[in-house]
Amino acid sequence: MVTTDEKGPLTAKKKSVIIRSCDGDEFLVSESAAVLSTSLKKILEEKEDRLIHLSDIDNKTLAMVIAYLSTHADDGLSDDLKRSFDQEFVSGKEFDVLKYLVLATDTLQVTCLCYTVAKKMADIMKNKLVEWVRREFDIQNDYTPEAEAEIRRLDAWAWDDRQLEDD
Amino acid sequence: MEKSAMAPKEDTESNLPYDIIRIILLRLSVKDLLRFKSVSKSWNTMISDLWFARMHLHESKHSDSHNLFLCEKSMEHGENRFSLVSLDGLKFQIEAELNSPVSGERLLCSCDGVMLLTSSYRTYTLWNPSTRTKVVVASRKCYTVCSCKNKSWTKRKQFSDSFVGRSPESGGVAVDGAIYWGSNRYSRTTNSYSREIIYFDARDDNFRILERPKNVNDYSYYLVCLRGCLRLYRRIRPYDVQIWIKEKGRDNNSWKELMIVENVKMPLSLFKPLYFVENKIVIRLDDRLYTTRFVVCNPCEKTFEEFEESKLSLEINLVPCQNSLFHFLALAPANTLANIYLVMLEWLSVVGRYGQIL
Repeated sequence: MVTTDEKGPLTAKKKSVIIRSCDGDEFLVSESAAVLSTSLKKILEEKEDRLIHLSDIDNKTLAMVIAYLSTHADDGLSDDLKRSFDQEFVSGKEFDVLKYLVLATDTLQVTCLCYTVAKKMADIMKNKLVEWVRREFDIQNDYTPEAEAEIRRLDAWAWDDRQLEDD
Repeated sequence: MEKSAMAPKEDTESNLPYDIIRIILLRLSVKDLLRFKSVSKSWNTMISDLWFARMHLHESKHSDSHNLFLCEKSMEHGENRFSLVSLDGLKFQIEAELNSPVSGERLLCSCDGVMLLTSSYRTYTLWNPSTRTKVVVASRKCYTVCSCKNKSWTKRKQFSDSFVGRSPESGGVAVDGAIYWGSNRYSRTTNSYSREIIYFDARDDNFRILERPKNVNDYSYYLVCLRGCLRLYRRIRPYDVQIWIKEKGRDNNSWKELMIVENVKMPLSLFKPLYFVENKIVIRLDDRLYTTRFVVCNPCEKTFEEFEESKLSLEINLVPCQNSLFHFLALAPANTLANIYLVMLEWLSVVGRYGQIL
């Protein structure tokens, strides 16, 4: 399957690359969009190959990243429009989806998307309980109960809030 | 790519690598971070790290939505109350109500989220309202500039005898790890005063003079930090205010003219630019009857827009503040102490203003 990014006939004439996800689906992306990713840019500079296989990014995540890259490569869009696209892009997304996205931006080295997603994740983490964070980040509590109580005692005011959420 | 995404990383216990976790945590508020120290030992180590505190401060300074101010309210029964207020766009929001850490202390100035308080200029307290920590830094006996380098306070000489009456209208302005203020310089040869911009560079503990913008020779100009850059404003023509911007960086001392704000009829000392909202400036106007107004000024369209009636009208003091993790007890390595030290400098300039110094 080849999915084209949403581009008019003008940019379709430009050079494009095919990017394959770990699920095997292929995406046709304009080169100007692909090179916004530092990793893809390096690959394209090193070899002539127009097919890039990404073994660690799934379909859904890759499609989102490509939508982002294509929008940001569009010279016809003003910076303001791109900024509002960024806001729209991360709004309403689940924390899990954002985790995969932020990993993909790390692999592909798309710094500005990485920061946008990280900001959104931080916004979701606001007022969350420690237990929620451990669950979402898959972290084992390695404190002894006494050590944890001591840590909490030091900044007790940060805990004194009925707004803390667990979901 | 060889790496596999969701498989456990070697450098982390989590499903995300530390580098990414750090990028996310840098965008959290201090309150959330203090709580998340108890997620795990490695999170505690990361958040308590001084480099992290610096990066976090940098992040909160450069995010446009964070215009944090500490408001000092009028005294009630000798106790000062403070509120931490965020000004996001054109909205005021009270983030927290705080008690003064020490009874009867007044707010003097701030640097990197650390406030300097004093009670009748006898004792001085550093206070970080974000972490709610405080430390008493000096009493009146300690007159010279204190440097914390080499983990100890050492006395420093003052700038030069030819500078007198340090800063009549305000404490210093902290930008990019240096502190700037206007100071009057007396010249024996011409028997006259000029007003120079002095700055203190924490890298080598030295005072230097910053060149003023071209043709700015007048006596009354003001310094302010907006969007992380030093700005100078002064009156030109009867009702116009000219704003200059210094290029970023301590070593880049070039100025360029930023804009002209027209139709400013009140005295310049009552005109206080607070922060930018896109290309508009939010300005606080204090009039002589001690009422405070906030206006949004659009220099391009030459309009002034009144803020909605705000809850801040009774506040007597509004000091820029940052979401800062600086925790005095934890400050140890020499170069990271520059911040405390800069605050001490502001103290110097403030004390100088009351003629009690040296």
